[in-house]
Amino acid sequence: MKRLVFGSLSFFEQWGAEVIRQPALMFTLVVAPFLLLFAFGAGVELGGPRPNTLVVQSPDAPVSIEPLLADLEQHVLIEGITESLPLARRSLERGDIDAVVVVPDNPQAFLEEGTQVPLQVLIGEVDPVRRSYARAYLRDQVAALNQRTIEQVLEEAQAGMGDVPQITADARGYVDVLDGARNELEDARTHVGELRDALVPLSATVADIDDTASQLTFFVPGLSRTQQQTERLRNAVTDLQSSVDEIDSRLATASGDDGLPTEEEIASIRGSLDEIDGMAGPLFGIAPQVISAPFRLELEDVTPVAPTFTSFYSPGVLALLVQHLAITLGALTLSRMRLLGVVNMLRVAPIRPVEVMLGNYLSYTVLTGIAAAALVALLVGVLGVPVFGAWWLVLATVVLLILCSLGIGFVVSLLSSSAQQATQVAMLILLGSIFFSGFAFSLDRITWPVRALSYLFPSTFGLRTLQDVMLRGLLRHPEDLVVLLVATVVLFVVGTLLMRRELRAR
Amino acid sequence: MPDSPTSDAPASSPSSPAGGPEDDPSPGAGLPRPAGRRPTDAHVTFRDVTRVLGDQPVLADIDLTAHSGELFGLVGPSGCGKTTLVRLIVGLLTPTEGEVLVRGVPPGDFAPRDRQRIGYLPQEFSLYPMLTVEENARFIAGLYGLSWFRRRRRIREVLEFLEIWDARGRLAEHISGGMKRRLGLACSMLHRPSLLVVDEPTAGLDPDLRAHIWEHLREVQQQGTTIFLTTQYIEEAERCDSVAVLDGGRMAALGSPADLRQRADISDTIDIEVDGLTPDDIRALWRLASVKDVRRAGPNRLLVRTDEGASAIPAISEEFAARDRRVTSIDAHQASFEEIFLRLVEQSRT
Repeated sequence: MKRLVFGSLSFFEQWGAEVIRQPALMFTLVVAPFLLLFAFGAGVELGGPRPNTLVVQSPDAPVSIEPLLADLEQHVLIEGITESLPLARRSLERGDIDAVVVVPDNPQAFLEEGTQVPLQVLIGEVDPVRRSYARAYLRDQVAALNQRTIEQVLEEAQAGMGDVPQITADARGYVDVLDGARNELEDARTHVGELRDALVPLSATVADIDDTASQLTFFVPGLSRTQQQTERLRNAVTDLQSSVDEIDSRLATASGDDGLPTEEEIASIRGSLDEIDGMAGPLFGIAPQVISAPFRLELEDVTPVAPTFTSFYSPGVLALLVQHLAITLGALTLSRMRLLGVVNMLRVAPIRPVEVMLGNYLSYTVLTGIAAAALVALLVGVLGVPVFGAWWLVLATVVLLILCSLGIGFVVSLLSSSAQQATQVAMLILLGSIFFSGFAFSLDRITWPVRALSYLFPSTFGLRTLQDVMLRGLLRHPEDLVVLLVATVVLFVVGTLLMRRELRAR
Repeated sequence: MPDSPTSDAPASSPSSPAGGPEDDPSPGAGLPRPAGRRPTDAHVTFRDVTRVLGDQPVLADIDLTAHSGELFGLVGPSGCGKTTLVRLIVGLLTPTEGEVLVRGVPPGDFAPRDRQRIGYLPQEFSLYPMLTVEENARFIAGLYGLSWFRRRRRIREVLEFLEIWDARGRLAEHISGGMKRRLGLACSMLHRPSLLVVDEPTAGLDPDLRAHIWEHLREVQQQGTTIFLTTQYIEEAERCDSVAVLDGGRMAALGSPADLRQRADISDTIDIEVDGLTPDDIRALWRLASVKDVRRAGPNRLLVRTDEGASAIPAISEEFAARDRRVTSIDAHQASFEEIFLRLVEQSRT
């Protein structure tokens, strides 16, 4: 027991003394990753800058592109306008610009033919992520352009439709007067004529509404109900006008009280006017923006706080750094001992393989743990990275990640024949972790069976747990900690057996 | 050196500590022991040991015994198998054939308690260059389970004994080669081993430092520690109680330095200058019992080979005095151990 304690601790003392004499090592372990993350958070934008764009317009274009340019400038940087598509294409191929927008010569002609207007956009991006982003961005922009076009059409149509409520209000005034003069034949004739004249613009207006509804249905297929409504409106107006015409005709030939409009007829006219108001109201009351975009996104984010770039990537950086540091230190252990000849001292000394392993685990866990703690302190204290979950979970995850990674490092070290080989393996593990651990791409974007690779790296489990605990405040995958624990135990046993083989007489 | 080495369990010894050489069944037991030292039990025993590395035998048919408390030297040129033999003792290697026993236990079966009794200074002692002298010693002491309190006291004792205490705060990468060797020796002694296995302790050091290290080794031995060392400096073998001469992986000779000198059969030479030297004078010398050869090296100069130069000089001087000749100078030249080594190797090859 005494030898177990003092033997194991002697590795810790030796490492501690060596590390203290290397302040640059602590800088490399803690400050450098922090500065990298700081620069990353400060300098990388989501989505990137607005693309530099060249606009191509044919000299024969019959329409002005000024409105289109004004709209485009909200989303892209317009480098210039050219008439030559080949010239613009060459600029794009050379990488001088990011995109080319080709303005259609005559959009109206396409619409009149009942086809969509092609809006040609050329891109020359080789980065798959940026290509994907550009496609989504352009689709979004074209949809927005369509929406704004519908809005404009609606605004113009509504402006030209006249004012149905005003017409019906005027008509009601004549109806009231008619009602008052209902018993006087001559007065009734005069007022019915006035009412009939007042209703004439209503027919023209309803015809305009009908046209508008047809156009809207063309742009927005979902608005077919509007066309049905305008048909009913048109019928109601026709019926009203027929009723008034009939009264007018009757009064023209009437003598005495026989042809005078009845109280029921006056009430019917009032009812028809109310019905027309009721049907036209919704059509005129709906704002063009509502018709062009009937659905509005209501997004609710249930995460405790919207993470910044830095916050989102911090748990990943922490997990990768801890893993890489532990694996590298572990992987170089035996190489260094072999190089210095310490392995022979261990073979001769009364120290057991398990004591050598425990000593090295202790040394490197403390060293990596200090580096991780310092990094977490900087991330939280300086960069404001949140920790919504329990701190003990962060601690447990980091410790398990260190132990598991050290196990991998020791096994690599014990199986490698040279320091170069061990370093290469450590670098390969880091590279694999960046691609497959969920750091660069989320795990659900990695398909099976390739995703099986992800579960070979401890950082996959550490990263997911740290992200959940720090940014969501909960532990969604407790099994990740179990996996790390089991892997730690297995790797310790395997490492100890390999160390026993290493220290055996040859 | 204040303390005695770690005691060994007598029960583990294959031979009785009380028994004489005749009771000792170990190889080499029949050879005469060094003068003034009574052989006790066998500490290290090789029986017909062969070790093959790759497909080359590095050691072949090695038989030897190093007894408790003795300073056993293994000499031979570079590449003769000294380090391999030492590694067999400490358990770094196992024999391909034959048997190695340390206190009756094969090194391959060493328990931690057996290892605790062995101190080992490899040819290239392992140092952490970024640690100080004291920290390196502390690390090794920890491997041998010394508690912090004992460790502190013991490190001071040993570093002071080897005269490197003043350098305890210096980084190992900044100390001289001699200090490194002494630090290595210190580390191998920290846990008070009963067997100290030292591979080339003086290699690459200047004569003063070599002599100094030998003094330290002698002092350690006087504390009761068995020392098994290798050296490529043949003349150092004369400082040992027993010497094994290795040549090409085979044992060329084994015995005390005096035994080896005798077995090499190399005469001492006496250089004499005499006034008025005559052929009769030479013939007179031939008649002396100790004289083996007489050669004229000049008009008045003779080179006389004898079994032992120091004891023959009085007889020769008396002979010339009786013949009324004036000896102007007379010097005895003892055969160097290097010459003895070469002769022994030559003998073993023939």
